[in-house]
Amino acid sequence: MDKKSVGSKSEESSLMKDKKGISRRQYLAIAGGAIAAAVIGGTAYYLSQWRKPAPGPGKPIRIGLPESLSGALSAAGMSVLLATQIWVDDVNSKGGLLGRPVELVFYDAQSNPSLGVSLVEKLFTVDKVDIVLEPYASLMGIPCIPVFIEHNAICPALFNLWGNEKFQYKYYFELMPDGPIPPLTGKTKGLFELAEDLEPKPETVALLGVANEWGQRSITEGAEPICQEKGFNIVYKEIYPPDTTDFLPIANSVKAANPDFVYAATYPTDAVGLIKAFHELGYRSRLQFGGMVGLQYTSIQMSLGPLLNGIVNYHYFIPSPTMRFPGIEEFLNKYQAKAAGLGVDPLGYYLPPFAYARMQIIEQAVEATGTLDHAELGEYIKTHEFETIVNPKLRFAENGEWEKEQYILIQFRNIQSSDISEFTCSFDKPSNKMVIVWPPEFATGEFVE
Amino acid sequence: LIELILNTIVAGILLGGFYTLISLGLSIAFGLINISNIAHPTFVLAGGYFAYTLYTALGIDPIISGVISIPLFFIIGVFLYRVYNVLIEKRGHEKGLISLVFLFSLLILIEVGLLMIFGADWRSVYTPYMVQSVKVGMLSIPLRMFIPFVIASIVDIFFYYLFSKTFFGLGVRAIAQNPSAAMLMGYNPLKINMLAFGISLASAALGGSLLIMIQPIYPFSDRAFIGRVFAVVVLGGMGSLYGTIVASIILGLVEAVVAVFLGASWSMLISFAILLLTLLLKPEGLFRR
Repeated sequence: MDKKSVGSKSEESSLMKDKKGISRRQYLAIAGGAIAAAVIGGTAYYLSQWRKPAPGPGKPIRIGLPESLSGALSAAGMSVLLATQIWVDDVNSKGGLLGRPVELVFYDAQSNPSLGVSLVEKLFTVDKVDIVLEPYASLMGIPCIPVFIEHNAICPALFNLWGNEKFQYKYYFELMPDGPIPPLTGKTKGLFELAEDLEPKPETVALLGVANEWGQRSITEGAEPICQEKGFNIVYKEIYPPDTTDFLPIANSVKAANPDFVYAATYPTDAVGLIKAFHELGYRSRLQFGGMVGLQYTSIQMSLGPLLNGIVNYHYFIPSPTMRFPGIEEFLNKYQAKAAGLGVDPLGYYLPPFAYARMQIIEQAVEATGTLDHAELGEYIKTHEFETIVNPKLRFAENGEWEKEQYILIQFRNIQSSDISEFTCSFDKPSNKMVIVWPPEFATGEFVE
Repeated sequence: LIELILNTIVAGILLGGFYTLISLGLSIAFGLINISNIAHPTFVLAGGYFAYTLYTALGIDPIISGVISIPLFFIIGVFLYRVYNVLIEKRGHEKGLISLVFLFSLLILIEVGLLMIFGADWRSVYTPYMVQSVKVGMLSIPLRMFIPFVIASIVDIFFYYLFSKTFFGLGVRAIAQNPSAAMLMGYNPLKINMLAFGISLASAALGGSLLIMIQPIYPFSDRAFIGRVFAVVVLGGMGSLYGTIVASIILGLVEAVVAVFLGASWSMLISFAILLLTLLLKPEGLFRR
């Protein structure tokens, strides 16, 4: 048998070909081109929904936002963009800033920290915008801080976890209301403060944390010292990898340790996994979980439905008569009207109000100083009080964190289904499904074991 | 302690069942028709969104959606293989970087498409029966993991029959070994591979419909599974469906047992250490094709 005719590479390759190759190739090229055009066109249209020309006369004040519009942080990033865009519309409808229209220049940082850093640099040096905003979350935001320092610019951060701890940058300010002492954030210590008030006082605790900046440090630098101080005995502690798929083994271990209460510092997917696993085992401690990032998002709440009943977790804000800050209701109405069509959190209680408040601080600082000079703006922000939709008397500490922490613990109760109405709260009447149980300043009900 | 050990072993086996379901299709594509389909977990994700759409629009249970997705994704797979064949194989690029770039581009296109259609928010379905457990003595068996395990077992049996007893299945394996000889036996490599890739994507979509019952998804949640499914296929032995099943169960068991007795942070480390060790001792994986 001719060696070349059977089994050779050219022969094998030719076996994959058919006789109508040219016409089909043309057909496929056209089809491929059409699909590519549709995707590119669709993407352009999608993004064009966000980009609106700034009205009004004069040279616009340009604000740069490198935000994660794709990738792991895109759900939050999109809602930040929407909230910021609402502020731009609001301020332009009032005549702009310093009499000039405001224009938002934004890019997709793709949840990629190195790209985020490049985009911040680009916004400063190529686009030469007047103010640059930090991208949402520690992963994206913290690596950008040196660029802000290099440009001696104000660094408006949004939910960076203890972002300025290492830099101590003078013009940094953070909207996450965790307070000025980094490891002892409200969302860590809240559950322990509530536990301390229970009768009889719980003695044992299990600590669970996802192996990232939040989970790891919340456990080792927050929960563990608090347990030592308050006399809670840690009977189980686990730091698990972020991509853990099944939480039954961990839930089994907690059940075997049988603590009085459980503190968990999670991210969204592991929060869902843990809650389902606990439910499936039929295990429930007296008080759980406190520090789950994810239970604030409407979509995550809807995915769990009645499984949330009894759980106590941190939040920063929900509509209630005790948290009716000036302007918040109007903002949420505008946000919710637009959110549904854009595929972002439809209720927007968690992050969007703080993204909007960030812009209110910049607005008030610019109007008060009458300048876009960053040194003047930075000094003003450090030393003045701001009226925002998340706190009408917001002041910053020396390290740029909120001078006074502001967090709430909510207990989920009476949830019957996964319908969005179960998680919709009102400013007129306290919710009986998401009850604020801590702190007393904002509480709308007592914790029920 | 005995209860903890037994429940841990059961949890590991059930987790392995889910890994099997999302890896079998890749085993066919990667091991039998030589397509290192890096976009395989993205099709799993697309299957999840398909189930989500039917659930929210028509109230259809994700398991039913999984069944409905099979013919749809099969057709998509057949079409995609044809495109791959024309653009990559006919030009002799199937073993080079271009093939990988093509598949990675496909991955990005699907992710961006999902982002445009569904937005960036988390999506999930809530099915009350899936958060129940069955108690058998000391064992607590969650339906959320047990149902995927049962479906994976059915798919295993079907694939075993298909790839070892049918003319088509034997053809897939024959072409993987020697296309020229297979052609002499009456097989059309192009058609056989088109069908095999269709089956690969159909099983991915079925896995996706169960993924959304296990955890919420967003347009980029496929990335978390890329390493794991390739690890399963490589550990099991390229193209060995039996090996894929065994490797899935091993990785599931290791993850669960290590999480309980050593700490969850050690799970992935030990899983991949086992993979490396296996490749060192048996480069072809646990089982040969």
